[in-house]
Amino acid sequence: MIQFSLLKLRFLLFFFLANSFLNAQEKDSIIRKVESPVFVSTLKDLNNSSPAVQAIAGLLQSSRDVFTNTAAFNFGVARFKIRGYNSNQTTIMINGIPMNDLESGNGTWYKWGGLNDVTRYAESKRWLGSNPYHFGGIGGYSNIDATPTNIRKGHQISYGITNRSYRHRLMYTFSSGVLANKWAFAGSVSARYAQEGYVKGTFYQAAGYYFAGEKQINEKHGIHFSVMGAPSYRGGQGLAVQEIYDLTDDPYYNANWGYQSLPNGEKVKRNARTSSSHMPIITLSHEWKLKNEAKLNTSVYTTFGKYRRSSLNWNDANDPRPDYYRYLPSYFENVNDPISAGVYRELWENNPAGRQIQWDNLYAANVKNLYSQENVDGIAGNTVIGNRSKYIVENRWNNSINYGVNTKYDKKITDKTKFTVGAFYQYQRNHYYKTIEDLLGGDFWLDVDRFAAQVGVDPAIQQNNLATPNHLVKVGEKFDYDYYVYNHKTTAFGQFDFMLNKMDAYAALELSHTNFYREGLNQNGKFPEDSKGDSEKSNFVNYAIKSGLTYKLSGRQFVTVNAVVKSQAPYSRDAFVSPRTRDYLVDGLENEFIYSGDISYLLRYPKLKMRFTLYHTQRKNAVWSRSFYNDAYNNFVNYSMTGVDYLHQGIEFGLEGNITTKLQGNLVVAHAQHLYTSRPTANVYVDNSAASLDQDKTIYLKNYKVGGMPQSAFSVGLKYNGKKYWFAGVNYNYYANIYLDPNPDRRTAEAVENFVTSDPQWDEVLDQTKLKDGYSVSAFIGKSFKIKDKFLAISANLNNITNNQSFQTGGYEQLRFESQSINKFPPRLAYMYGFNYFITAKLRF
Amino acid sequence: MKGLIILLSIGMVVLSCHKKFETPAIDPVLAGASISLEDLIASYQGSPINFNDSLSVYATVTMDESDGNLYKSTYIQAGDFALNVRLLSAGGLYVGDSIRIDLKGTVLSTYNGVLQLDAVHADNNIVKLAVDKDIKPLALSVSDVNPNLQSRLIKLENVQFIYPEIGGTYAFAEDKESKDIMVEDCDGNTVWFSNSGYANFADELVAEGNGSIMAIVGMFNGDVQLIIRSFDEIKMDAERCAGQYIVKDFNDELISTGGWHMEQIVGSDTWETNDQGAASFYCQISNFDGSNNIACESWLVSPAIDLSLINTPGLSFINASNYQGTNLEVYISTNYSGAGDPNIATWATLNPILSSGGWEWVNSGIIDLSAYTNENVVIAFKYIGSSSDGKTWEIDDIVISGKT
Repeated sequence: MIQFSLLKLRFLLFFFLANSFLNAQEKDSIIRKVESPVFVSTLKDLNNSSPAVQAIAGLLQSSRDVFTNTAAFNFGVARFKIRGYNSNQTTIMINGIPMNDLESGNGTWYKWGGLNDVTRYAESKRWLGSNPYHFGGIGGYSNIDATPTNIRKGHQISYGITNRSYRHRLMYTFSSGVLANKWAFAGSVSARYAQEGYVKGTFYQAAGYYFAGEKQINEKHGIHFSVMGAPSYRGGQGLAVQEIYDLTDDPYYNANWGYQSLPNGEKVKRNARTSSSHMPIITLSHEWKLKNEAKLNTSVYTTFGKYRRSSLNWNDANDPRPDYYRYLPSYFENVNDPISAGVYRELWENNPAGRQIQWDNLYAANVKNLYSQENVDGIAGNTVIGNRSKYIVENRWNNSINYGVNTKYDKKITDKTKFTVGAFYQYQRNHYYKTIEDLLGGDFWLDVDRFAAQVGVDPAIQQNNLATPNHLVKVGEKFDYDYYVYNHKTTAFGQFDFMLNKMDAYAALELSHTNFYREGLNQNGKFPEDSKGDSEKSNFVNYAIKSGLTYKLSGRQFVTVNAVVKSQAPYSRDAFVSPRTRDYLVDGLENEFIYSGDISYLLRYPKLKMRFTLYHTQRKNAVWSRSFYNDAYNNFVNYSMTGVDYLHQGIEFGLEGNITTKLQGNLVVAHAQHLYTSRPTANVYVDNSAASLDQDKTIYLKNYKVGGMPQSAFSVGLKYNGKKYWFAGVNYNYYANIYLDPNPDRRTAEAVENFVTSDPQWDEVLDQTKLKDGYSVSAFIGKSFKIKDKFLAISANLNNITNNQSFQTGGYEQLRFESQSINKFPPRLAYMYGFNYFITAKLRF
Repeated sequence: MKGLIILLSIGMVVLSCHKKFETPAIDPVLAGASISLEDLIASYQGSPINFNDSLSVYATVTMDESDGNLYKSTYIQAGDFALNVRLLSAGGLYVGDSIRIDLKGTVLSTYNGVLQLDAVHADNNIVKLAVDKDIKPLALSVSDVNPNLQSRLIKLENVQFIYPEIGGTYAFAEDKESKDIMVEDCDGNTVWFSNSGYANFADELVAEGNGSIMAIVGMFNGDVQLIIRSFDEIKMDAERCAGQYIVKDFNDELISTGGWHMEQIVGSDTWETNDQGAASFYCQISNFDGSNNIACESWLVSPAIDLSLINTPGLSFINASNYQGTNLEVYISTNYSGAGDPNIATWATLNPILSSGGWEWVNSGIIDLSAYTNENVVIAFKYIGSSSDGKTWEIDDIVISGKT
């Protein structure tokens, strides 16, 4: 107990330090050159390694980090992000092969969704540090070991029932263990299903499959391969504005669906925003134990497949989406039309079917819209008469092919020093195009850009593809845009780790080259010179250095310090102003620079584990790009900012300790500032016009908060391990400082040019929306049974037990706005799900 | 391994049940009695008619929104009867569509003097029966265009945009502003066109030659304003006839545009623009301050006009007057310097037909200026008022034209 008090003192000291750190707006030079080593890469290595190494591995075995676990399991519902980072700051790997999407840098978990038995035990370290696979991101790394010997030998079958986005989950997994012929095999399949999920009109059909083999050929050579994939088909949810939630008295109102009559008169729910994806991953690796404790691992991989998302599209007609702002009572109130406002209010409040998509009406309009098109496909005299669809469901495809090769060489120089060098080559081609999913009763869709008609009298301007002017599109056929984006990335890294008596340290360096370009397959009538063929090829060379150390105060107390400086190429996703129609690059495309450092104090006692971390990260000169539909232009507006700077700084605190032998308490605190710290420059374009709407516009973004997540959160909980394999736990979670990400265009001189600072509009336009703090209570309970040699586990996860349905977890400010009446385009908001559960039974045999 | 196969099959079955939706049975929503377009138009007695029941009217679309010269609006015609149709959403109807409109929910009313069927929902009110049933335009001469042809499709032959419009655009695309431009025949008859700034041809240069044009007879508060149906139907590439050379219509509410200016010799009452009692702006002058007449001599002077470009040049304008006093005097000079006291130049008197009073607008008639062919001339309007009397004079649409 005495020792505990001493610890408490130290916590207080660190809290104090932390607060002064956060309050000091001055960013004292952060790049502290230090770090913490990990000599152990996977669980498997752990089993083979020496006891001395194991002690350190225990220290950094991140999957057991209470902060990281709580952030994932309890803060997830509030969209908490560790250190405020997007997923592109964390390197996601399978068998040491980086899997982040090259176009956006984002994680690609959807490629292996549902294969929880395989991916559950990913080794992840979500902070700076030594990394045995790759240089990694500032958000650390996560590596899924998909080799058969990583999966427990035997069979395992589980069934889960839940009321979240899906209702049922069935999983089966087996692992052969090492067979007599030195092969080991493992496989897993899963299925998840909901006819309707938590949110009305959503549905869920997903499967997952995994098969892997591994053979130790001899003492020196081993090979392994894996194949996995996760086909899914889902009906999506859309966010709405608060007015709609109030009118419908439903915080989960979903505008994406409506009733459609079947020929037998029955009405069924149909979702307009469905998505499906299937992108299998195949890996093949070779592990070669060389002389003198050296190791060479070489892998090749490919991942390829299709992703599509559907959407309504329309022409010669009004917006069919029920939540369009002109169908809301407020729209009519603003134009002094109380009669229409009343009609729509009645509809929204009392007509649950009427406030959804009116599929039958869309069909009715299409089947009587006779139309005559001359010169179809550009052939003179080729006139086609038929019902032209005014409304369709279209598919927007993003199919990709990736392949790559990487090799890594590890060498132990002495018992205390080790170095790793690695090289990666990655290729990715994304194919973007649209097809027709459903003509909704019509005979064809005319593939022209009607909104370009105003641009001039040249009929070519309307054509999306000059090779087939006036093309009439049928179901399944391509239309509108069609282009590839290519990415090539070559990376080399080296890392040096060493251990001293009181200190472990590492240093690492990375060099990379990124090349990307667009290849248009259509010649667009508005941009005949800039739409077809290869674009200019963008090349970026980048470096990164990091270093850190762990200072061992004792065998149970550690201080770690890490720092990284790196440059980051812009992502091709952000690089083109309007890739759908042309190959123009964003002006001033340059590397981003990132500085990040953290300092941690850790305790690792058998009954008390604690981590306290201060971190500070600056991102300089980033690119920010978004597209949004603006019906004032009848088209997509593309907004690109360059010179965007970010600051992320804060504390992470995780504590887990035994109160009694059976009762454990835990406390997790995250408190941070995630800010924009520069005045970026914006350029704004419309898809169907070469002229820019705004050029080099200054965005007054400094000191706005980065939105969409709680900047602060804490969780306090208890966990009880009872006799006879039963356990239970409960956590109270609190989320604070949640902001909506600022719409840059509202933070400009132009947006407030008609106002003076005392006008109410001044603040309405400029102020950032802060959401109310929220809380959730979660619990879990489970029991395991051993029946002969079989093992049965039943558990239940209960979330939001108090059924708190008033917590707005996030949303976004609409990019379209009117400064005179800022509420005309209010933010779209998301609410935390009410009470939800996940109950599973798992049998191992 | 058996389990694997079973579960794989389950997974595949789950994924293969993507439902394809069938076209639902659609009610024939548009039914009911029918009315001819002629009777529909005749039924309008000056106040809006709301149609609450199904009633069908058959017609053919004569103008659509394709060129952007209309927005949420089309014109339909059946025989000699035509109507403007205002749509709740843009697009969906095209020239030549033979349609049935269910009047339920629509309103027959007038807007700026145009009879229109308003609040027509293309999805709910309209069935297309056939396409490519183009109606033949009524071939007309400019002088035959009149308000009784409201909303009809017409074709003007052997016409041209007046000379001052040449070099300009049809409308103002940049600012999306509309523009009125004048078309003439070779006999000095004119008619106005009104073009939308949203039209896809707004930024095109006005056709320079002589030829034909198709139009809908639009109206604005009793005045005809023709609407170009399609850019492709402006077929003016024959040689021009002489036509109008200078037009001063004061519709920009300014005296001084186009090179015109005033010279004030006596008094302080000057020429001003006004639109009281008229559909458009005109120019007027009066020496009465509300209680007294004040001596006045004020000249309205044209820019120098090169008559060598025009065959058989002639001057015309319209004028109105009231009260007692000296008549307006109209002059021509070949030696006026372009500025300063006009009295030091040599002026010849012209003899227009002048209003006899009572605010009655009269046309001056075409005043022959052939004697001045090959000369640079200046035209001037001289107003004289004394301290005891003085008329009010209003003038407008000053035109120098050619004859064939």
